[in-house]
Amino acid sequence: MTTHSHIEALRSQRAQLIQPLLAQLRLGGCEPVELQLAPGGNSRETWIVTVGEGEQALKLVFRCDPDHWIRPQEMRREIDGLRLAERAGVPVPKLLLSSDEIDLGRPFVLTEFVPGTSISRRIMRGEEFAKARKNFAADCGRILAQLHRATEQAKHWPYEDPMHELERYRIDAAYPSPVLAAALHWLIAHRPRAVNLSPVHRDFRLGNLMMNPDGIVAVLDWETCHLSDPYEDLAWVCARAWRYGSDRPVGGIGELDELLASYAKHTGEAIDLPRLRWWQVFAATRWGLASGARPRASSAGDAMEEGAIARQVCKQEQYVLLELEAAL
Amino acid sequence: MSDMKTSILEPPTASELLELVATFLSEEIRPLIQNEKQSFRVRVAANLLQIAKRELSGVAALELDPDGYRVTREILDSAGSLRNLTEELLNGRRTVEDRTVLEMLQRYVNEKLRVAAPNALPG
Repeated sequence: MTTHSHIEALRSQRAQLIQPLLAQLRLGGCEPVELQLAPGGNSRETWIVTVGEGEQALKLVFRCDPDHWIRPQEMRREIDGLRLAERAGVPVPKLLLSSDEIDLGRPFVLTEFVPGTSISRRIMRGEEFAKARKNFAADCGRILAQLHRATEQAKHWPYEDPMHELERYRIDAAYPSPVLAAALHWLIAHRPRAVNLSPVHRDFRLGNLMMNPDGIVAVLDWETCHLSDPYEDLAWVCARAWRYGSDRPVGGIGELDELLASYAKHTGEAIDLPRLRWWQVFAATRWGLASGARPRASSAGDAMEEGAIARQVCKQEQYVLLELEAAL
Repeated sequence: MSDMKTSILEPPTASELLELVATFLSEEIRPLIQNEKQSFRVRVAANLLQIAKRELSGVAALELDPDGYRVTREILDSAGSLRNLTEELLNGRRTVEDRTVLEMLQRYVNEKLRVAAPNALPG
């Protein structure tokens, strides 16, 4: 099947699938209904659903797992994350319906459509994003503080020892990396004292942030959220892998002191720099190990992208060595 | 630069063929593709061909270890294989707190970067 006809067949299947959702929202009789597959993200299908036309048109976002990779637990995280975030005042697309309310035979979420872009290249370079870039680091600090303070609502969230997660990745790795092995040993030997756990996003970075010229309008992709040390999010948004070639430490856009000052102001707690440094080594190691994981793609294009990521594990190893050198 | 196995069956060489296809994809096919995702994937495809070309061209100073991994000569001399070195680092028999270990790893990563991501090389 060609890519074009594959997408057309999928579009038609998904249009059928969402009919009960439109009926539930009393949009059942509205015509036309158009589905457009959003670019990016091989682990999830994201469809922009347009109901009606012209000025009356309503846009929604339908997200579900691809047929070859159904992951109910990850969608559970997505639903819980969106709900908690909205109540905590974190900007997110409003959750309209999910597999908690309607059984479509597969997990899903249906949310409001938030206008903006999540394309990092556009955000980092576009003139229209100059103001958003200026405030980016402080905005990240404020939003993460809001999320991390919502501990009461996250009591039922899962927790996994972060080092156990890395060990799982290591066992699954396709090749023996001496750099990542060295980092694992360092992380175990220098682990900071345990702190109170918070709800954390765990993939808070450019690419998962919907932005407009005023700043961050929605935090997307909650499928990995769980309980952890809140510094995991601070370190992740500063990871070199998410700077897209820029020197600026916060998402390739902002300065670290702005992020930390904003975070400290909104949490009311001083920053523990050695602890942050540990999480920065952890972040680089986690992505290095995940990049080298065995492939799971089903289509030729997905497999090629996974091959490209795996083949550049050396870039992640370089980042791990830089973080380790800074921490020694 | 000559291919790793320098024999020429008929010109163009294997690495030259890869270069030709990569350039064709980037310059003549990608501009025709409207779909953002597929356009990105053509860029990825061209980049992968460039990686294969650099590997064939022998731009990295790496040698085969007993398990078939390509490593630096100093790793072979020091640990015998990539797997041995990885085990020693995981168990803490060597650590990156020893500056010579850290630098050995940096040199190994730099050689791999010459193939996979030369733009990321330091300096």
